[in-house]
Formats: sequence, structure tokens, C-alpha cells
Amino acid sequence: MNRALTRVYWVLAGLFLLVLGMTAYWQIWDASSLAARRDNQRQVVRELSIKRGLILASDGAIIARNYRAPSENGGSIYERRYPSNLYAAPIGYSSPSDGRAGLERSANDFLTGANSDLAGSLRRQFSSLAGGVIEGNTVETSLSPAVQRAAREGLQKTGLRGAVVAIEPRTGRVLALDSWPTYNPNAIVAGKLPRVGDALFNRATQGRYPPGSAFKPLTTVFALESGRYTPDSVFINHNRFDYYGQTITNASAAYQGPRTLTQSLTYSLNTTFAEIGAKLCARSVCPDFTRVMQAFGLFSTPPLDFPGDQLRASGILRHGTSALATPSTSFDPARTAFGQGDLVVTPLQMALLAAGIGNDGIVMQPTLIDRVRTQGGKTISVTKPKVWKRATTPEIARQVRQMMIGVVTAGSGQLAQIPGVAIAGKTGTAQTGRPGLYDSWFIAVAPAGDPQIAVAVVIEGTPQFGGQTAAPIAKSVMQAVVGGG
Amino acid sequence: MSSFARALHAPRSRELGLLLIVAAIVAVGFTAVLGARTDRISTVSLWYAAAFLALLGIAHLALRIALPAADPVLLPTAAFLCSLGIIEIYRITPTLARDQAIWLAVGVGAFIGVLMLVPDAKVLERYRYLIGVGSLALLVVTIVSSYATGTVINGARLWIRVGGLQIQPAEFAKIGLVIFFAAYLREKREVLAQRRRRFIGVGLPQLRDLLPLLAVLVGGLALLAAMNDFGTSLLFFGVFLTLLYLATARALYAGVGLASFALGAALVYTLVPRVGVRVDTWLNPWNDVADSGYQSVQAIYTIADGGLFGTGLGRGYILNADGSKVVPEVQTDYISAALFSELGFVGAVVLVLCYLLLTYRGLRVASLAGDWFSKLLAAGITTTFALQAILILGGVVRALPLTGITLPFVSYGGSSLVSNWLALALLLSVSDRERRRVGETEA
Repeated sequence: MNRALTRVYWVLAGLFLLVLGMTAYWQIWDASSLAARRDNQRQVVRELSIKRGLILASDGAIIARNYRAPSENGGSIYERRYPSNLYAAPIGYSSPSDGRAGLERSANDFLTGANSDLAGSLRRQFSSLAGGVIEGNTVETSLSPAVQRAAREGLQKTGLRGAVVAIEPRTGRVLALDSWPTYNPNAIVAGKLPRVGDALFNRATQGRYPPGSAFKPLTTVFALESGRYTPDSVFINHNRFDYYGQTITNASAAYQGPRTLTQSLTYSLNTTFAEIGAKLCARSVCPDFTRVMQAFGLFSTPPLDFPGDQLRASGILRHGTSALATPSTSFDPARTAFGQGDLVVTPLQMALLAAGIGNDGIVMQPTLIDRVRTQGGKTISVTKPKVWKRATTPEIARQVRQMMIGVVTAGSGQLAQIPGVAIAGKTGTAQTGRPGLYDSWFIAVAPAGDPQIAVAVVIEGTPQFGGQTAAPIAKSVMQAVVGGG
Repeated sequence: MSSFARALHAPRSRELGLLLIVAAIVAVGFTAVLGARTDRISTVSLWYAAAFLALLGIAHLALRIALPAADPVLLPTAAFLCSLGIIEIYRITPTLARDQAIWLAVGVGAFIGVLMLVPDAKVLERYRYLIGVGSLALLVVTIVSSYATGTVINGARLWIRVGGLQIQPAEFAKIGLVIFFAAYLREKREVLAQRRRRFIGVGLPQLRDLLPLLAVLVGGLALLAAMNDFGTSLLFFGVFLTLLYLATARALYAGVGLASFALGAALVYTLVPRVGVRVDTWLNPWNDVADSGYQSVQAIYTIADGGLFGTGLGRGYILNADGSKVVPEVQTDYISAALFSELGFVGAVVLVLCYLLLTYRGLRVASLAGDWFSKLLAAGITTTFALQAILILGGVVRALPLTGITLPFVSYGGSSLVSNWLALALLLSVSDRERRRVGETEA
């Protein structure tokens, strides 16, 4: 009997050991990979006990602050509060239930203080051991409340979906970034879904639209770089251009007859640009054209300090798919030349195009963060302007800019005129496949001689042309920086 | 005082010493939880801690009077497990800790009642048929009343409503059946151990000796299956096989039992959807992480979060921001997940060592016992504690499929707590008599 009891004891002890072995597996061996799993919310929730850094606009106005609440699991948690929904697109949200988006996600290490120098991270460790509150760093952004507000008011007035991006051409600082419809980030923090289903979709950085004629400045760069055209090159304009059995026409027959390249840009003549595309590209595989697009940043994700999955690259799509083509993929150079075909672009990319032309051919890396400092005031990091792409020569950039001034003074973009300020702009009215409805664009840089702001505006599904809907919005956005009438 | 009398009282002094350690742990534990959650819970609730300690003191005094020679380690071990449970329950939902403290009072009352009424557990042998039939009747009543009133909780027909209370009679039937098994096997162990007939080269007892055993077992299991509670059936089966093995010293019974169990399990897995889902969830809870796998996955995350040393009491991620529990029903079946999270692997080792200690001391009581009934009763009660802990702990850490049973002495739940204290009283009563007997023979 007692030998049997001993055996029973050892069997039970073995089973207990099995239980402990499994426990050790979860708690020690597999713990870090379990903590990293997406459906495990602990990491996110733990960071809620950190007093997150403030996010400030360029004038020091508070975009995101904290609200202290007691935690169910000891200590305090800090909930994000956003005084306004004006910055929902660039800043996003930091929510216990829905994670993070926008700068709240991409700058999370700064905001939680996880990035600090050695002394800072030691202090952080001690503070957390002592049960103290970990304080994150304050992030100062380049966002200008005046510009952002002008963008918001313009979008809101149309009542249609759309986006605005405004950039300082010489530095790449993003002055405004908005996407409409928007959402209330405080509601996301509270665990509610936005009222409009696609409001969380950031059209400014993720939305892909055909650029239509707004793409013509890039084609102009392509034409001038080839050496076969000058701004004064004359095109015999029959108002129709036959290409592979299909006819390309202009929006209006009013400008029929010989026109220079400059006039073609001013009046947005598709036939001229289709001809340039067809002539410069002998075949449907056209690396020369693709190279110019790449030089302005197409085919790569803009290096904005933003979450990678909220940024999308622009470029030519593989026909019938949503995947970007490679330079060796064939495409339709004639239609691409005036911004149709399989070409899609984001508003951010179009703002970068305008900024590159404004900044003498140099596209600066777009940035949202100006400076990061501790809550004590010590500066941790300052963003220095960096060149992203050397897109074209200063001469060609200046020539194109000069040509674009004509668009605003005498062409399709006259509604963007600001008295006393020279503006280089380009309208775009892209066919969407829905009859009578267009994606309307306006890109511009102002003042043309001393570029302080580059802007791209897109309005989805409007019956109006870019010059009618998008240009006035771009105007008020630019006015927020350059002033005037 | 003679040296013999001192020897008799020595165990109680050791017990008191151990209980004081438990008291210190309770104080530290409650302080930790309170410190972590000052803005959520009030100091008034600390009275639960005081009441809890007072109850342990009463249990100790009762032992001093009724069973002075009983094993000194069992009560403090159970008290320690209870204290871990009540601290964690207090941490999860303070008001439930009050309920648990009330149930503990009932449990200690029942404990004292047993000490007074049955100071010698051996008398129970006389009432074996009454107890056996009574236990089966309890199970039948549960099922009938469940069908009559529609009381089904989590798919199981385990509860009956008495007034405003929900009671799980199976928790009490469990003890009754252990008593019955012990008495029956005491009576029949010799014939069962015989090798009267040979079957495929294996010696077997006569069929008529074997039949009643099989009948009781199959009947009990069928009733539990009707309750849709396979955790408890599994537990019964395990305890019964252990006792059969101990009584007959024939590994054959254990082997055949395990084989038939494996067969039955395979059958149940294919036939009963609820069990099938549980096994699938066990093998890969991430397949259905939002629904059937949710509890298991969250429990694993909660446990993993503890790491080696734990987050500290009151500081684990046990509750969501809205106060709901991250792991559903964390206070009952899954209480070990919360404990392992806040106390870490170190805490898990301590908890498991407590059960191992309980098992060791309990089986020691059995080994000291002079008569087979006491031996089997002590072994049966101990195995019940041990297997129950293994089944639920193993289920929570995914070493085994999950069976919805409570963690003895730790989980929130009145019936389970009271029945565990009843069983502990019986074990101590066996211990007291056998230690006196051994002490006398040695003296």
C-alpha cells in the first residue's frame, strides 16, 4: 500500500511539474513574442500610464494634451484630449481601444519618452520603479493653425470628399494637411467609431487619384529636359490627337490652332501633351519618362515622419490592378502625359511636385516635426531640412514656374489669383469613370519668385473643373501664408 | 504537563506559527492591493482581511480542542491558498471578496461542525450506503431541478437555486462518493485483488464482485455527463482509479481504466460539440481568437505578462479601462491566470508547491493510517484536491484541455469553498486519530 501511495505521489508531482513547465514556457520562454502579438493590447495599455508629451502647432497652440484618470489596474492612466478636430488628419489619435494613427503613432517614441538619451532613459527607469509617472516629450510640429484652418474651411465648404496638403518648399515643412470628411479624435479615444465610415482614411497621404492636367508641369519638365522642346515650341493644334486608334481631344475647342508649349499649359491642351508623350516615348515602355516621375518622388513612398501604412506611393499602376508598375512595365505615355491612363497620385505627392518646382528643382524631405523637447524644456532633437530628390535643374524649374504663372494670370486657374502676389499654378480635372463627375485639382506655389508655400488641393467627384472648385481653396490656403487681397 | 501531552500539543503550536506567517502574508497582500488602487477602493474593505484572519484563528482553536494531534501543516497550507484567493478576488472585485469571506465563514463553520460531529471519520464507514445513495440522489436532484427550472450556466446543469443562492451539489456529492468508494473498496479490496479467473492471460476477480463497482462508476459518470460537466466527471474518474489502484495494488485496473477513459474521451470529443470545441480551443486558441479562443488567449497573455517576478499585486493588467475583466470569469476557473500575472513565475512555483505540500501531507496521513477505510478516505480526499488543481491549472496554462472546475481553496465560489473545508476536516480527523495511535505505539 505505501509503495502504491508513493507511486501515486510521484505521478501527481509529475503532473504538477508539467503544469509548472507550461507556465514557465508562457512566462519566460514565449513572453516577449506573446507581448508583441497584435491582438494583445497590454503594450498599448501600459503606455497609457505614461504622461504623453504634448503636441504643439508651429505657433505653440496645443493640438494634443492629456487628461488624467484613475486606472482599474493601479496608478493613473492618461487619456488623450484634442481641443479641436482640426488636426485629425496629420495628428491622428492615441486610443486605448483603437491604437494609434497619424503623428501620434509615428512619433510615439518621442511622445512616450522612449527615445531619450542615456540619462533620460535611466531617469525614466528609476521613476517607473519608484512608482512615479513617466513623462513623454513635447513634439512641436510645423503645422500652421492659419493654413490648416484655411484648408479645413475650404474643404468643408464644398461638402465633398477631398484633401489639402501645404508645404514650405525650401524646407519641406508641412504647413497643413487635411482630409475631408474628418472625425473627432476624442470620440475614437472614447472607443466610438466615426460617424462617416471612411473618415479615418487619410486622403491627403493615402488617397490615390488620377491627377489629370495637374500633372502637366511634370510632363513639361520631361519635355524641356529632352532638349527637343522649349517653352516656345509650337504645336499644330487640331484639337484632336489620334493615338493607337483612339482620339484624344481637348476640354474646349476654343483654343484650336497653333499654340506654344507655354500656351498649351496655360489653356491645358491635352493634345499638346499627348503629342509630347507619344514623341518622346518611342515605345510603351518609356524609362525616360518614368525617370522624371521618379525624380519628383513618384514610385516611392514619401519620407514623411508618418506611419508607413498611412502613406502611399504614387505612380503608374499595372493595368487593372492597384499595384505600382515598374519602370519596365509598358504604359500609355500619351495619356499619362496629361495625367490620365493608369496614373494615380496622392495629394501629398502633388504638393511635393509643386514644392520641387517652386524650390528650383529640389524636392525637400517633407516633415511634420520641427523640434522635440522634454517637458522640462530641454531640446532633444531639431529637424534640419534635408534634400529628398534633385528633380530637375534650377533653369528648367524656373522655366516651368514661369509658364505656370500664365495659368493663374490668363488660363484655367484665374480663381487662384491673389492681388500683388505672383502665383504659379496648374489646374486638373481628371476623369473618374463616372460620367460628368471629376476629381478636380489645383497645385500651386506662391509667391512664384520667392516660394513660401506649395499647395495641392483635390476635390472628389465634383461636376466642376479644378479651376472652379480647387483653385479658390488653394488661394485661401496660400493667403494664410503670403497675405494679400 | 507530561512529555506525551506536550508532544500532542506541539503540532498545534507549529500550526499557529505557520498561521501567523499566513496572517503576515494576508496583511502584506491586502496592503499591496490597496496601495495600488487607493483611488478605487476604500480601506473599509480591509475588514474582509481582518474577518478572514479571525476565521482562521477560530478554525485553529477548534482543532486545538477537537483534534489536538492532527497534522499541523494542512490547515496553514489551505489557509495560505485561501488567502491567495481572497486577496486576488479582492483585487478583481472588492465586493466579491466580501462574499468569499462570508462563504469562508460558512466553510469554517462546516469544518468545525465536522470536527464536533465526526471527530473520528471512521464512523462514516457505517453509513456508506446512505452516503453513496445520498450523493447520487444529490446529482439526480440537480439534474431534475435544472431541467425543471432551466438553470443552465455556461452550458452545464450543475446548479440548483435555493432562495437567492446558487448551489453546486456536485461539489458535495464529490466528498460523499469518495467516502463511499473508500468504504466499498475497504470491503471488497481483497476479492477485487483476487485472480480467480484468467482472461487473455490476465487474472481477474469474479464478475459478480466487479459488477457493483462498475455500476456505481458508470452511473455516476452518466449522471455527470447529463449535467454536461466533464471536468467533474474527469476528476471522479481519476480519483476512483487511484483508489482502486491503491486498494488492490493492481496496476492493471489503472491501465484498463486509463485506456477506457481515452476511448471515452475520443467518443465524447466527436459526439459532444461543447467538448469538441474545448479541445480545438486547447490545441489552437488563436484559430478563433475573438470567440471560443478568447478566454484562453487572454489568459495566456495575462500569464505571460507576469514574467518571472510578476507585475506586483494590484498592478497586473486584469481589468479593462471600463472595469470589465480582461479574462472573462477570471475570479473562478481562471483565477490562477490573475495570480500568475501579478506574482510571476515565482508565484506560480509557490502556488504549485502549496498543492504539492497538501498532496504530500495528505498522502502521509493515508500512509500512517492503520485501517483501509481511513487510508483510502485520506488518499481519496487528497487525490481529489491534487487532481482538481492539476486539471484546472493545466487547463489554464494549456497543458491540458480546459475543464471548468474550480481551483481548490482559491477560486471564487461558495459550494466549492465549503466542500473543500468539509473535506479538509475529514482529512484532519483521520490524521488526528492515526497520529495518536502511532504516537501511543511509539510511546
